[in-house]
Amino acid sequence: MKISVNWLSKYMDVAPLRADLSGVLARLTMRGLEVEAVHDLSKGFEKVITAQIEARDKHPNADRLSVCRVNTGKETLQIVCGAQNMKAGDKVALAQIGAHLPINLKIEKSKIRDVESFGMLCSETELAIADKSEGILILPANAPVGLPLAQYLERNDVVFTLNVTPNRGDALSHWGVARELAALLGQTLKQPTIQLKEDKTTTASKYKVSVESSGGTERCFQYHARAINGVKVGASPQWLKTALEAVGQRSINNVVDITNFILLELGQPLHAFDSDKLRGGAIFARSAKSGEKIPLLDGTEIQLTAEDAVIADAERPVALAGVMGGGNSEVTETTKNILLEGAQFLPASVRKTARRFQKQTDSSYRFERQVDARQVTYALDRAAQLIQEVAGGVVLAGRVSAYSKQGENLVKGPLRSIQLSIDEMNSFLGTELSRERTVEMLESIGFTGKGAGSGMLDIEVPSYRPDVQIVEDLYEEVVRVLGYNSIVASVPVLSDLPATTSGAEKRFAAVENVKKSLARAGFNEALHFAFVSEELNKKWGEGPGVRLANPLNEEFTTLKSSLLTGLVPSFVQAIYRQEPNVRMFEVRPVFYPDPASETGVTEQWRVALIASGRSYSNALEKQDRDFDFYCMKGVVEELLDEMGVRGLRYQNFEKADPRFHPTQSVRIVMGKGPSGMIARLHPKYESEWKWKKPVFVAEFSLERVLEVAKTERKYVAISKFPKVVRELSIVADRTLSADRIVTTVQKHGKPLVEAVQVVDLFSSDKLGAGKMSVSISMTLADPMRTLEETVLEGVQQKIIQGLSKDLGVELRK
Amino acid sequence: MDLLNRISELEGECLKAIAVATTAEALQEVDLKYLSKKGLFSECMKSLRDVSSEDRPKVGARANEAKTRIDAALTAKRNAFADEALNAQLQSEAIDATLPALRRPPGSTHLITKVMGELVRIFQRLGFEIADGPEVETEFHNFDALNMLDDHPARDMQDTFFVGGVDGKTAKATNQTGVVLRTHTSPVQIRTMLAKKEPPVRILAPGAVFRSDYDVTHSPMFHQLEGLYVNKKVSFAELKGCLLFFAREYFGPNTQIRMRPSFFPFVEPGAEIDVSCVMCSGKGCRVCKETGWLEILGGGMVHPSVFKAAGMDSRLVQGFAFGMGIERIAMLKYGVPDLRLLFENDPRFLKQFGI
Repeated sequence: MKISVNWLSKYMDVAPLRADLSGVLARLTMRGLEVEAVHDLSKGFEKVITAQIEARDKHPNADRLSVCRVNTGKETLQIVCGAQNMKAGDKVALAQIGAHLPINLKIEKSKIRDVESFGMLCSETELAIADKSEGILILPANAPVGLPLAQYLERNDVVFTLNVTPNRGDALSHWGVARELAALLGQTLKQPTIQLKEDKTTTASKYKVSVESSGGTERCFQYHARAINGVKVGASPQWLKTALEAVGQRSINNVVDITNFILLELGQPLHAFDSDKLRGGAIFARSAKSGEKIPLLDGTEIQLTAEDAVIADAERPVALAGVMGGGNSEVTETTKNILLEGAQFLPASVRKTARRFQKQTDSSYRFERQVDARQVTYALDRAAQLIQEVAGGVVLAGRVSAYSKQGENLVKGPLRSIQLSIDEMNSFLGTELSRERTVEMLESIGFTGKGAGSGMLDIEVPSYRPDVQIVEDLYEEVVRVLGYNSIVASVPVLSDLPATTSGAEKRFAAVENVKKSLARAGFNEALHFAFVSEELNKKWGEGPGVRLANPLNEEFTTLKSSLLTGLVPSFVQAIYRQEPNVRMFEVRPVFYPDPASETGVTEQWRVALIASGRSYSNALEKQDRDFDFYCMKGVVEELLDEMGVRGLRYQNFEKADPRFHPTQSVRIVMGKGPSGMIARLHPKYESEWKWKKPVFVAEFSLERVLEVAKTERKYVAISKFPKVVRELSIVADRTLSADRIVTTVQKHGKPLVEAVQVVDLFSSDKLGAGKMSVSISMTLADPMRTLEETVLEGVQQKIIQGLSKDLGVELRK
Repeated sequence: MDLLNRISELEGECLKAIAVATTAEALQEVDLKYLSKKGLFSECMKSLRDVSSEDRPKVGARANEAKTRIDAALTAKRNAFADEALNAQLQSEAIDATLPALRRPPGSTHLITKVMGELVRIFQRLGFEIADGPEVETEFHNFDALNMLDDHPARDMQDTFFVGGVDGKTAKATNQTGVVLRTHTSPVQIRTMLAKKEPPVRILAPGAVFRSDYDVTHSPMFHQLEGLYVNKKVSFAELKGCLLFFAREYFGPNTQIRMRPSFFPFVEPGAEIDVSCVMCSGKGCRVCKETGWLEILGGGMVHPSVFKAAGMDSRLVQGFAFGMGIERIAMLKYGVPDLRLLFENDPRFLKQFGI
């Protein structure tokens, strides 16, 4: 909301505001009306004056230029001008030497095609008072000469922009802001009085209005109209134009301008119909019929629903209630008779209609935020008076009015009253305010306090503050006037700490641990949006993902089903930028459709990694190795170990995953079933990205980790007897997995075999086609005694037999 | 006493030979030549038989003395050679300690993770406990229960992403309200209170939130940290105390805070909380747009309608809530000039903030 200081001066003494602009506006901010920007309109108008062209001659050296003699009131200057729209005698805007125009143009003495020029005649564009203009600005013939232009155009004004929160509909007008400022400065407001010259004929003799509710919903609370006949629609007077332009509104014509003026003055939207275009003398504020159509002022036509409120004549809708007038009853240059409407509509209804048709207007904005129920008729009368002043015409006597039940109560019933206990207020706010001080503060902003003794008050809420509904709202008003900064801070005494640690607390700690561990392992944490394009989700995700109904753009349509949808593209970005060793990870939820859940979507926290390049940074090449599958496996296992996952298993993919190298990818199994994977990306991507090294990824469910992890540790007795290490070398098919050999050895070596490890592996033609040699190291121990050679031999034989029986493998000879 | 002379002569020769030996091998030769069984000393001592028995002890003592001296000289020289050899070996094993270490590349956590952790730990010291909720929310939890009914203009303050249903329209949750990506962490307040039913509630809700706004200063996904304290008696002054504690812990002991009235439908009174500018200490600079203040927090006293929706009786409980945007705080604290850097995932950016 833009507020002009000059405009405010109609209602209050703005001298204290002008004297300490930033100070007073800062106080306004601290009262809850945040000042976002301050704009001095006279800026850029220094050394620009009104002047008169005495003579216009052709430029001797250029056909399109003129040489003018321009009277400044003090002297006559020679000015070269390129415009064609001026003649001798015209009043113009002259930028003198030294002026610095708002468009950042500095005026200096110059020579144009050998003719000296001592300034510039300005266009509206050059003065930044219009976006477009043709030729220079020609002022009215009665303009005085030699006056600073800023003064002549009444631009000696400061306009500030307020960020008004949705609860403060009362501050969406100059009057409302003046009310707040007057309270702040201890002034009393001057309200313009209505002086209407009414005709003998009454509005009521020509028009009837009625308010209809449908299905119990009162969409129109009150509706009033006044007829004004014989107006002369035309240009607005300068004061009106100046006022509107100062706050960024374009002047349209005198009648429309007055309705806009009242909206900005009082916050009450009004509408003027061309009454000759209305059919019949009855006006209905009613719900639209489903399918009914209305052409609007902006040239569009919309099809209404039964949820929309309209103003209709006997035959058709003529306005979209509270939002926009109809094109079928518009005031134009030829309009003679008007019907002026002032009303109050149900905020929710206006909001829904405006949103449904994407027609958010200054009017709907204010109705949504609630207008002052008791100011509607004042606004209507004031508009009638001003229209008469600027456009002439005869104002018919009286208004025609109609109220809904609720509207009648709002206007004629008692004001809202809220009971306030001083003790409870002080306890709530942490203050020690007296009853008197409380009343004084509330009354300074238009509330009244009643009620005798004993710390209880009945506070009456002014009609312009419909947002104040409960006692907490009053507390805010009190502390707002008192100043939030007057509250003395006190740290809460928290004696009742939560007895147990919540699941969320554990998860937050676990997520932080995972991130720190992976960072220590040399990975960089990435952070991607939760949504990706459908295409990316298809390519790198694991399921259909979840579509957004209103995505921002095609890039962000789908809630991702795998974190690879973000990590892989970022990896590719990095290698395109020649990053040699990229290692990234991410920890956040992914999304799956799940009809059984509350929202139809299940979230699963995931950990994902990607890496390619060398294992160590900067190491000499001979000491380094390329990051490979087993490096990634190591990172994952170290992390899972640290988190307390025991019995981690691996399992082949049942079906090749097109994202991965078909023979270098494996599922991770924790607890119940597959819960992740480690894989090399399919090598086709390496060539696609012109990247010469394999790329490894891993992703697993963090939820599963937390489910199966056991972090408690217990002491296990340390054996006093020595351990024995034995090695076995066997020949097996190359397709046999190490895991199966190890588990078979464990199975048959029970209970003496403590640990089994594959220590060597090679294949050779000498072993036979498709065969490999595997060397296994076994650690054996008995907690009760030293192992005898015969016992060891026995176990070893059992293991060899077991391997032969279960896996069909033999000792290497 | 020729033999005594001979001993002295041999001693002198031997010591000289030891002195001039330049290698361990030469020394060994000296050892063999003089001291071995067939060496010159043994040879010489054969004549001891010819010495009179009264002179024999004297000659014997003299011979021992000479042998001891020679042994000592030999050992000393041997040790010297051994030291020399060891030194030479150690010298040959010299490494360049300035060559690169065998270390993993520098890893890092994301700046948002880091800042969130820093903030969470401050409030944990005040007894706040972490709570969480889903990113895909129902309109009930995200709006309605927070006193933001569908007809309220406050909903316009938050451009909402809706989740699509099977028919391409907005999906419906089991509570019959629409399904949205949460626009703030406040629905966690509702979920926690509904679950807990009774005070005290003292939670922190960290997490990602979503709004349909994407430009230089807006990201469609960003992060918030929300706090809620509900008890039988809670005051506005305590909200201020809590936030002042936070501001000083995080931005330094001289930090000031400023509260001004604002509007959030789920609190009343509501406040914006500014902290004195961390760049200029409140003197006014480009970062704080010359105001000396930075707007970083919102908060207020829990609105009775919120208590009602969350199943608590506002006559029996009071509470305060506050929330802050993590991106803004991270940018201020770490001097990051552009919001977009946080989501571009450029390793050159990610690596800067360490673990």
